[in-house]
Amino acid sequence: MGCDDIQQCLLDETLPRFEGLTEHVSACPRCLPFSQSLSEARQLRGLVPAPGRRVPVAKTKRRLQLTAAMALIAAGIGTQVSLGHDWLTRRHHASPQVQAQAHENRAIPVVASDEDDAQAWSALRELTRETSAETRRNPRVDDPATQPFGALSSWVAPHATSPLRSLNLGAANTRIMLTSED
Amino acid sequence: MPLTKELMQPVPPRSAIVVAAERGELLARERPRLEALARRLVWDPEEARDVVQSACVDAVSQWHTLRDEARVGAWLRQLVVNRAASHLRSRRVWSVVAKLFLVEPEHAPSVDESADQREHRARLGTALERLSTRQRVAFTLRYLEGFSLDEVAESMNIDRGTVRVHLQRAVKALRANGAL
Repeated sequence: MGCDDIQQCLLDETLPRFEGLTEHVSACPRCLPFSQSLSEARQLRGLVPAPGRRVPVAKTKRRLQLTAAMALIAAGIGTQVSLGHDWLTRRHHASPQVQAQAHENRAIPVVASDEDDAQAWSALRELTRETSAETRRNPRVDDPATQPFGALSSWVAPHATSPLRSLNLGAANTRIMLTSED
Repeated sequence: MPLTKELMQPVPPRSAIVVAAERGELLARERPRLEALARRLVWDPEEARDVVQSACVDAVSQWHTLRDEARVGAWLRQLVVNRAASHLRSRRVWSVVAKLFLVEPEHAPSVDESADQREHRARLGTALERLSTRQRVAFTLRYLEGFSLDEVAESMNIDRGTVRVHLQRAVKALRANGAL
């Protein structure tokens, strides 16, 4: 019979007792403190607990609601900032093709009346078609030399040269410069 | 209301009214005893009243589950113990939330007790808070209320051996926390 069984015997008087139980309890370093604690526990009968030590649920709920509201506002602001940054980044890193197409959609009605501009845009579209297969979507990020830098690659990469820049497109060049990567 | 209309109103069977009145009277008679029990279980008089009120509502709605009318006292005690255990579990969660949000428990020390008694009760209350709900309920029923092991087992709806295990662990934990 181990100490656990003996302690169970002390807890329950109906359990069968073996000879030498009292001697064991008085000599055992585990059972003796347990027996003393049990005697103290038996004297607690009728103890009326004092009021107090009550967790203020209403106050906790109010504070929880306030914190939740602040967290929601912070999350909303964070989302807005993230989306704004994403939009700016996408616009910044848009491929020349997309930018040219976007510019074409906007600018053609304006420049259609100018013959030089019309020729320039025609040349630009032709050039875009020719170079579309050879031009990377994002030359800086896709460059193997700068790939390890991840999102910072546009900072560490040397100034990019685009085939579009080398063209002398006359008046249309101004618009291209405005919508190009820099 | 005219007399003819009043006479035409459906009248519930008298036996049902009598039974309801008897049950209400029984609950009112048992209420102080149940509140004392709940007070020792949840360690707070206001919460004890809420626990007993919820248990009385349970009793009214579940009266048909009572098998032996002679053992209605034990049945009501079981309902109070269940409600108190549920309350203790939810309060444990709220205690964690309160600690997270730096809301301190409210103290309301009694003026008619000595500093030693107050300290001893506070130590015991804190140590009981640290026990698991079952250990706490078993210890309270056995040593604060003075129920027999069989009564504790019946109230908690567990067997006698499990009560012994809960009590053994509770006594050891209370000693380790300096409450015994």
